[in-house]
Amino acid sequence: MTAAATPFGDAPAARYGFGLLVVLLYVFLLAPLVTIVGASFTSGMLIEFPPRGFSLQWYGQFFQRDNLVAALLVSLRVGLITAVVTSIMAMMAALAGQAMAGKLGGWFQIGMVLPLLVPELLTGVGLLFFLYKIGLGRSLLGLQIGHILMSFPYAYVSISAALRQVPPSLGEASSSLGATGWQTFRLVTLPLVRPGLVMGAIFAFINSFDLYTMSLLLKPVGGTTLPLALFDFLTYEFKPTAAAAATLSILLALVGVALVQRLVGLQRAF
Amino acid sequence: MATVEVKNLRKQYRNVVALDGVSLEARAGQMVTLLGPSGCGKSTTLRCLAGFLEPDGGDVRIDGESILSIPSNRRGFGVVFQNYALFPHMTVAENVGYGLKLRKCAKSEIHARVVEVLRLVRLTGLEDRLPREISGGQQQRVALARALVLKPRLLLLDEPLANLDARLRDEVRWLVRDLQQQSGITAFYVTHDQSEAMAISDMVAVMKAGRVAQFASPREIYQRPAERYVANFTGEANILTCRTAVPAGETRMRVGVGGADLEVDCAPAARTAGDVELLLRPEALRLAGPDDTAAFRGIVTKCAFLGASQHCEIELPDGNILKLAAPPNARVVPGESAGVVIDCTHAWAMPKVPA
Amino acid sequence: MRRAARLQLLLGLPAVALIFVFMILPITNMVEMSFRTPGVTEPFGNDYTLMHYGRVLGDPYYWGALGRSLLVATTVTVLCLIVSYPVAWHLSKADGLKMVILYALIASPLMTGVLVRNFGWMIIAALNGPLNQSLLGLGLIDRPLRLLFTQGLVVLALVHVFMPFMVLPINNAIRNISPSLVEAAASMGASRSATFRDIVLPLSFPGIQAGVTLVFVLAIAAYVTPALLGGQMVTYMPTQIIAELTGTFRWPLGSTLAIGLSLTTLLVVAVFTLATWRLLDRVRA
Repeated sequence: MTAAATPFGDAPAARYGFGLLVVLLYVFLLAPLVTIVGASFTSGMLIEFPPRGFSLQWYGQFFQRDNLVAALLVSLRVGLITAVVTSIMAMMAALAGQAMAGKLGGWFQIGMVLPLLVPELLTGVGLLFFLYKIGLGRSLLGLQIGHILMSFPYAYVSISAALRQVPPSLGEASSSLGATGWQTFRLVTLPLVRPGLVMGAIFAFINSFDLYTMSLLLKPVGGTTLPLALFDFLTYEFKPTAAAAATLSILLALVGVALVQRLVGLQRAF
Repeated sequence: MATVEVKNLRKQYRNVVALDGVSLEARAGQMVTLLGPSGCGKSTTLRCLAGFLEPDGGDVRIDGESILSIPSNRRGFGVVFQNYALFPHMTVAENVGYGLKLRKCAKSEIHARVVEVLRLVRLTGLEDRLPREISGGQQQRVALARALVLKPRLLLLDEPLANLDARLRDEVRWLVRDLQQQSGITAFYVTHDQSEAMAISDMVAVMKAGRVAQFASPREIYQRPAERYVANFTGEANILTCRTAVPAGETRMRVGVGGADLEVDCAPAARTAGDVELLLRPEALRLAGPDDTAAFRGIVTKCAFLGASQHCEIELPDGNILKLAAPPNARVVPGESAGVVIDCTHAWAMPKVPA
Repeated sequence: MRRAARLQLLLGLPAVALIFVFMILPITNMVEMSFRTPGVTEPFGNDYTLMHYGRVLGDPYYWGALGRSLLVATTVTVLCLIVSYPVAWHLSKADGLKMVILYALIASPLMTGVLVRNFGWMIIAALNGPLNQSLLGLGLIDRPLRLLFTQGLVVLALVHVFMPFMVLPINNAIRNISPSLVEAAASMGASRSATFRDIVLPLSFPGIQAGVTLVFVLAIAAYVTPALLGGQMVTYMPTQIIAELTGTFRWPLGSTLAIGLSLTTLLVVAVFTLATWRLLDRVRA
């Protein structure tokens, strides 16, 4: 069967109408990103689209704003630690999940993605009180914990999906050939799940980098992440510097998308 | 060379009994086949032997020593899986050399032994291919080579041919048997295919619901099955319920069935059983010619030309249906009456066992 | 179970500890917090009371905020479904390079932060922004519309934020429909639109259900978009909760509001799930 062009038949009216609709929806989906990238290159003094002329001055401005650069560094550092910690924990948890049978396994799966299922606001509020209670309120460590918690499910989902693709018989074969559990993990399992592991780390990093509500609630005294700094910047001085900062953020997302496509393919990842 | 004793093995999952007291033994160098339908416990038994499963009770002994407390990676058994279980990220040579590498053999020794075993399984030249780049039959031979290269004490094969098409299955089957006999390795072989089991085994254990229904040589399993279940599972079988059955001598009985009165060999248990069934394999039956005295007469209900023979079904007056092979050019017409001659040396009486 | 398998279970401990200590415990803690008396110097007092529940239930101001949040979340969910279905259907029919590109177009906004995307809408909806310019250019309006800080823009931006969450599950559901079902319908004389209406649409319902639930839950608790694009004039539940916690430091009251919002969300999701249970049950493979 040839692929249908529309759900409603192939009459020219239906074809062009449906095609136009889909194109418009993609325009809608991409408009904010294109606008920001465009606005960041303006040579004028205002945020506007289409941009006035072309210049990179606002990127220069961005890197001269100490508070924005500091926020970027905090975000990058928190994101990197989140990526490393969550992917190690998620790898371990995925191996544990594999060994669980029946109902227990089902509950474990749900437990591991709980931070995705419960609204960020609720988790954030609870965590705020809790960290305050244990003396970690408004600390960088507290913020880091919040980010790890919220990003963990992304790492877990990618890694456990990769692990499910490895047939259990490979582990048994390896064992029957004399490998210990650790040798089997290092020589057979790890090489096979590595793309999923890296993808999980990327998702965790990007999620951490974009996290807003959680960061707002837990932000440490004197430290702030890029989205928080950007929010304040937008509220108080609406300048193209913000577009430059946002463009860097979009660039990061695009790099993430490209890496995910390279590693496992977008269709399997989403 | 190792002797293996499996004693009263038990395994239960929640409320399903997978193994209900399985006992078997393999003498050194024997190939023992576990034969049965899916869910009968044959794979569970093999997985207990391999150490992938811990039985709830019973024992497995190799040369008299229990191995149940030894983890699978230190049992030193070769295992060949139905889905081959080749490591997809390693080449053929790396797959085969994996166990040697774990044993810290020198590179040159690994290479020499890999080359040698690949020659045995006739895969020379494919060393650097990845598993996905070779055919299913070749993959299974790599899996076999990977197990054999370690000179295992025991070889365990879990439906190794099930994923291959018919022609390859034959080829790999003989290769497995040849290599097993040449190297003298004791082996357990799981299959649900009775002709495969017959062809390559020294002993066959027919399994039924977590138990061994019969453990004997292929010939005995086929010609002298212990019960209807075994007879049905090991080949085409006509099984008739006897109206009368009287012991006649040490190992024989007189049975009355379908209007005939026959004296046949019998299973020992049949002599004391309440009800007796008569097994007539197709080769025990022949269409009656004009000069023969037919033991049975019936109506032909079906006839299919198969090339070397014709498959016929004949309905007897008491409702039993006999399946038999007629010569390719015999005139057999559905709806007409036909006579059947019985060769009593191929008939076998067995006790009727509730299913 | 083998010893090795038992050891393998222990690998799950750090993750279980993370979720339990930093999520389940804190949320339980928050429920306790909602019964605390207001504090004088601290954000909360030492005694227990039901006063916050009484106050929230009795104050039309909070009911108004909850109502607005419900209305916005429902509108966003419905609009999201309407705009996402065609994209999901179109995506599900793509393969090869085209599929990769379309996936990238959907994944890129998804992987860009909510704040950044909302910022994009601020630029687009500005008084002299591209949207007003185009509308003026097309002669649809005489003078620029004030779009920023309106409820409409909040809804639009939220639809944009959540669209990928709707497109992807529906796309997966449509991909899971066996082509032979469509061919079977066609062989029995069904037109394309009849096949779509009677076969594809019902069988894609698991995706719709997943998308609708996800988008509603995320939309009703969304904070950034109303805070950035909604202006100071109207309050929604999430903005109110954050204000109580980080502005006025009334933690018990903030907890009560958060619990009220969660219970409302749970109720709506439960009603939706029950109402669509039979349809879902029927189309499950």
